[in-house]
Amino acid sequence: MNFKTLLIFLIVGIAAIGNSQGPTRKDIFGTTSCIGCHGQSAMGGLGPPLAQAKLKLKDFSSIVRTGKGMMPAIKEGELNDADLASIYTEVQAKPWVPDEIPIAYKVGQFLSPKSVSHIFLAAFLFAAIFAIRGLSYWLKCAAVKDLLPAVGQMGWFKAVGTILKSLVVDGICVASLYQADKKRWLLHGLLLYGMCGLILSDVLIAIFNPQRGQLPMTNPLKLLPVLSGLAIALGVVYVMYRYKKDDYIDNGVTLGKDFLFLNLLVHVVVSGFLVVTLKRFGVNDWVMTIYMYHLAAVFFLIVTGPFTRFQHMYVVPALAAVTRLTEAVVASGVDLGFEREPSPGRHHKSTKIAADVLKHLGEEGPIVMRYYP
Amino acid sequence: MARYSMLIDLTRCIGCDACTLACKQENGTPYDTFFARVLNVESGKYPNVKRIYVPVLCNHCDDPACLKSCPNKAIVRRQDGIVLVDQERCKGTGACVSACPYGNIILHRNEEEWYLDETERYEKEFVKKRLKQNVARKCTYCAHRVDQGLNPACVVACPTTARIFGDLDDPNSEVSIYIQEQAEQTGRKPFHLLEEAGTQPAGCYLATMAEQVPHTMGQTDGIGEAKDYESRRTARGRK
Repeated sequence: MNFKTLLIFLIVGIAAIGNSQGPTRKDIFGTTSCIGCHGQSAMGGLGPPLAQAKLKLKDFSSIVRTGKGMMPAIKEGELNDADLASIYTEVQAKPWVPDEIPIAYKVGQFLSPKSVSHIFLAAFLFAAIFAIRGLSYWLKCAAVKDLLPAVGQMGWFKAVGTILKSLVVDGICVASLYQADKKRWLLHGLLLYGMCGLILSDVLIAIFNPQRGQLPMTNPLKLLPVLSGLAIALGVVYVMYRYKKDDYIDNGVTLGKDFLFLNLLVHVVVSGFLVVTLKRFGVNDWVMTIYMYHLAAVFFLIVTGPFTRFQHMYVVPALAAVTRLTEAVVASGVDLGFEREPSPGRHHKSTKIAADVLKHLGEEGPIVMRYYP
Repeated sequence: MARYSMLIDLTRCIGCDACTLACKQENGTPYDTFFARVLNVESGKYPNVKRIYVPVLCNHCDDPACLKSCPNKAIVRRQDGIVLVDQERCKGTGACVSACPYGNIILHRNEEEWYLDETERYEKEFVKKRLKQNVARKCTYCAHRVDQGLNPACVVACPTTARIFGDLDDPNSEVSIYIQEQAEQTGRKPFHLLEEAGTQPAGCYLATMAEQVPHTMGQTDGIGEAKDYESRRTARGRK
């Protein structure tokens, strides 16, 4: 299914490139990225219709130069003043054909950086609520509540230090994978650090380039997302390859959810790169549509996150941190009321089991566990 | 489709730890690794005290938390319900150790104690190195034995047959018959440990019987008749 989608995208992309013509002096509008949103006949797309525009040239160029709503700011380097002026006269001369106003505009007029960011904020909130719910399930499995008295004996300062160290070493650095298999660590890192890079660049762009103006390739704000995207693309290709080749990828329980995550990621990456590539080759009529598709794919990636393989991003570091905390409690040698436990570090779970069994037997009262009787 | 399960009758367990040893021998588990543990639980306050033995081992859940937490897909649930940790794929992250609500996954990182080198005949011919160093490991229901139609080692070793192993989906399997018999004769229904964890374990337990009334299976002549038992108890001055 992935390959088919990829193929369709490529065919569409190539066909679109084939259709595009070189710029002629008469029709600058038709060759610019304007048509992506305002339509080939300037009767609108996701952006408003420009035909017979009643704006003055001054206002028109100020919108172009500073951006408005979802429209990015377009600087001198991309479009000089003379071309801007001729575009202005061109679109004013276009005929007003109300039948050509597309439905997309009726949706598009509600989209602004603000409304889009609100949609994504809502998606993040939704994901966060379910992520916290999921995490509380895992912490209940880990019997963290029953471990806390022993942690208290060991000292909270040390406990926080252990957890933070584990989050960095096991979480961000993925130390266990690095020790066991450096190649896998690198390929996993492409995805992990690529994702980190994308999130970081999105935050930086929101701060330093909120109108999403076109930047040169050498600008760090452009370089970071492109390199991160490349890393993710490479990583995704590897993961897809592994899912095809690895006979043991089906663990009998989670395969469907794993594939949902991988497929969404493929859609996000492919559509993201198509946007960049099509823009680069000047195939402007497709850019906005595919960009919208890209945003939708990202939206679904976030919303389904807590239920797909995506969740391993926070579940695994959290559980590994609890494991390290338990190991630290055992190593610190605090008095847990017995001399030594076979395979230490599971006393809190054993007492929970014992209490549960006694509940089934209709007994209550204090429990003492004996090891090596 | 088979659904393997182990039933542990707590009334029968005498806490001898034969299962622990049989498991260690069969699986060749290294230092401080116990797949089949027996919890010795004392409860209550003098004079109303009680001691019970609770054998615990991997429950081979239908919805295993350890499996879902594994980032390396090293934990697999077979079609017959047996959950295994793939020793080659495991990278020793340790997420599963915390994820298991029963504490039945054992991971020693930076393991120093390991098998001796294969220099002597004993190490060459008898020690079974089924496990890899520094990775997570757990009970396999002796999958290698089950695949040959044998019972797990702990089941074979149990002197009181407190452990009954079999296929829950097969009404004629040992475990299904035992469950049915016990429901009819003693009214006991099997329960799972920590059901609120929601992992749907396969392993189940039968409670101890506070009032042990021996069933004579139609015999009326003498030994262990219910009435007799009751009168002996009262004679000894117990409540």
